[in-house]
Amino acid sequence: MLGKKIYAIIIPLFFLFIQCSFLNKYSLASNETESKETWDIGEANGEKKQTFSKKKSEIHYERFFEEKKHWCGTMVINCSDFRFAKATQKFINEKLGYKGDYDYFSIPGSIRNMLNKQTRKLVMDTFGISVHLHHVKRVVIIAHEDCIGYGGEAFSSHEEEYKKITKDLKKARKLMRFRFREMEVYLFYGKIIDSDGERKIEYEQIL
Amino acid sequence: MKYFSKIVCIFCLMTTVIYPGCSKKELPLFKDSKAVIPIDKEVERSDCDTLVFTCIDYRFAFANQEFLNEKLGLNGNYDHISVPGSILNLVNPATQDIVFSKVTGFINFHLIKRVVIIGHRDCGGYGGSSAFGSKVAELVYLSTDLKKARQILIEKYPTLEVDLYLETLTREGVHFDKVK
Repeated sequence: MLGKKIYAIIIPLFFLFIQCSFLNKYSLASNETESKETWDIGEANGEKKQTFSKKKSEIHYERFFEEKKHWCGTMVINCSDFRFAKATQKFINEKLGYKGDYDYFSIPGSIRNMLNKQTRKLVMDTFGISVHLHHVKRVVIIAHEDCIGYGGEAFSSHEEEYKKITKDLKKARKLMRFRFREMEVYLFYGKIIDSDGERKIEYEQIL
Repeated sequence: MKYFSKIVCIFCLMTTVIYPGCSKKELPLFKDSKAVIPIDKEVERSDCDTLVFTCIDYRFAFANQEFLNEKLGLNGNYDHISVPGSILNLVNPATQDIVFSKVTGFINFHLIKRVVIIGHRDCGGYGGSSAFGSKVAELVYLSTDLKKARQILIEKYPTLEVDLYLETLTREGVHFDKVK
């Protein structure tokens, strides 16, 4: 009796597994084909965004008093660290072009608190305020190296740190999508690099 | 065992509907997925002595950055904690411990001497302007909360200098009033 039941469970699960992997592959494949185009378009978009932000160099505060058609497009979750503050502001305002259109969360360790079970509810509820009140559709999560939230220099090597933080970022993306459906979640990892004798901050998008 | 098949069905549904949605990847926003921002040598510092509390609100986010960088002359040299209602969680006894566990790290690691708290009217964390009934009631409530936050911080860290600001949105821009 039990043997038959096991087959009845295993067979649909097997089909489901295939379906899941097919769906994932399909979504990845579509991403890959589109991504080639978006690299070209990405630059065009960048130009568009730049001109858009140039036009919008001053925020028109009057629009906040008008009847609401567009609320807030983006929610940015960042770490509190001062070393990345100015660069991150530039990155969001100019490179991403979201100036004046984002809720800015800044919490020590950015997503560390979301993964910690003790503080998860409090943090998710605060994100919920932004999603329900401002109708946010897109989330940008920015983590960085040598983060106090992770205990500063707690890792033995940069590779280990990168691996751990990107893994956490991906986990945060899953949690975010699980709680807020249909949310676009963009992940970035910031690190200080030295190029041509100048210190720069590189933001790498984690896919 | 009676509900076993139903549980399996629900499990299957969850794996087909939720799992693929949760692990979907986004498109790259930049070429090579990387963007580089140069650090301004003149403003770069290796230490930081200011901690800032603000609200997340998108209407005030950019005004806050301008105010802190230019008016207060901090130029990015500040640790920034931005949560809905700014000091709402600090004043609320239920969540005070969590906030302090985070703040203590900064005050000890970065040797914070000054705290700047910026609250604003019509704050979603407090339920908006409509939750107070009148503008005067809102002003009184918010400034009392700001002062309460100062009191709590000074009780814990007596050497801290705490500056309070309350901002108001107008059609021309954002006005900052210092709360004494």
